[in-house]
Amino acid sequence: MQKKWDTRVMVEIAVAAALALILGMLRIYRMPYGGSVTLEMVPLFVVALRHGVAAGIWSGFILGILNLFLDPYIIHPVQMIMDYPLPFAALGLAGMFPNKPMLGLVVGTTCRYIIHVLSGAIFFSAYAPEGMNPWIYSLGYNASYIVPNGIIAIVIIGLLLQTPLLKGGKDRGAAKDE
Amino acid sequence: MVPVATFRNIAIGQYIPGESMLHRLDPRTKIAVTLLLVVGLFFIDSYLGYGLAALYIALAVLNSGIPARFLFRGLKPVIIIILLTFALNSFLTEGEIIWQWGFLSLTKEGLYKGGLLAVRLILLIVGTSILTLTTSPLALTDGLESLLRPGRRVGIPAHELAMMMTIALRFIPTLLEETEKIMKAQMARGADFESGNLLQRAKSLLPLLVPLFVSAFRRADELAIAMEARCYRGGEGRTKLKQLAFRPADFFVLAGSGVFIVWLALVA
Repeated sequence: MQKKWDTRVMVEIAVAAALALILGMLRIYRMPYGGSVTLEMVPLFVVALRHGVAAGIWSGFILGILNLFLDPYIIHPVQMIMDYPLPFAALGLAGMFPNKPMLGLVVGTTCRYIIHVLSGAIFFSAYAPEGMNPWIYSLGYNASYIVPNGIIAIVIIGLLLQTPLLKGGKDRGAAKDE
Repeated sequence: MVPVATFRNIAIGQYIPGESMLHRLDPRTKIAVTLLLVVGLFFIDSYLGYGLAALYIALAVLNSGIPARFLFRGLKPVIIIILLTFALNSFLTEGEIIWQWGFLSLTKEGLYKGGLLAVRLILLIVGTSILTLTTSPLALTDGLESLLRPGRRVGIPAHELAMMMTIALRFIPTLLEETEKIMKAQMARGADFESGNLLQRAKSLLPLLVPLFVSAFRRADELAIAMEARCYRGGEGRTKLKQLAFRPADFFVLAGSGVFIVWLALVA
């Protein structure tokens, strides 16, 4: 990218990815069927809402690569890309509608869900015996943890919107996109 | 919720420092060979091929001097998936029935295919964890930057990406400590992070999140000012304290592994 990056936005993207990684380790609720609810999506949403889609996407991308470097779980070449950098990068799309943040959050979460579903289906069709439908399994399994995670992240962002963190985000210094 | 006391002991990453040849290889070599291995393992279609691949991975493990228990620790979370893959394929593949119980029929072809897939999963997980066990996240970031550098022309911000990852890695322990401190402070004031339903818990986390975010973004701001005060202006012409060095050993490992894995994938 020939455009010069704003140092402050760059550092915020990095810090948000680090925050997401830490919040991802704090399990706040264990779902009955195994998945867990964490707040890892919240910092990525905050960055996307403060600095726009590109910043959110990069933050998610970095979180994905960090997870890949720190605790990889690779079972398929395509799964590696679709489980690590892509779904978190998709969350960055939450910054798409600066005036309708809630709509953005739903779009971001939905895109993450779609990528996980594709990834699950690809994995499942590679390992499951023929004749089993990979889509049903993948749709259900991924919904079981992304839906509660998305709801809790959206509720929290809704509450944070009332705080200076997101309220005055746009006019705090050189906070331009990228 | 993870109890606050154990939060401190969470190990970040898997890297185990060492002095083996594998540890000292250029991260670029290791990333390239691992990617090749991940793809290559998908083309192997026989037990002989997987046997040879297992031998190759075992050789790497021996060289690295990493105790086997660390490798098996990585397998623990996926053991159910591996067993399930084996069982589903063994019972649901059509073929010569060797054992039947109700509607479940174990077939010869199923056993063969299930075993093959289970071995593939195990080799994939062990093979990729060698990379993260022998290479620190910072070295991996350096390697990634160097591998992505040719992509600058098409718009991949290799330097910025590596810089952001380095900053994130540096901030993880600091922010972890900060999180713990704020949690304890709020608990001392009577905050309850551990009961209630999903929504109540989400709400109860606000007193943790707001100070955490504010302090994290303040740190980010301070770092950005410090960087700009030192004339940071992006990747052009920046030098490094530790240069990556592609040595003869890297060449031999890359060429040898490359030829071996491609041969395995195509022939075995």
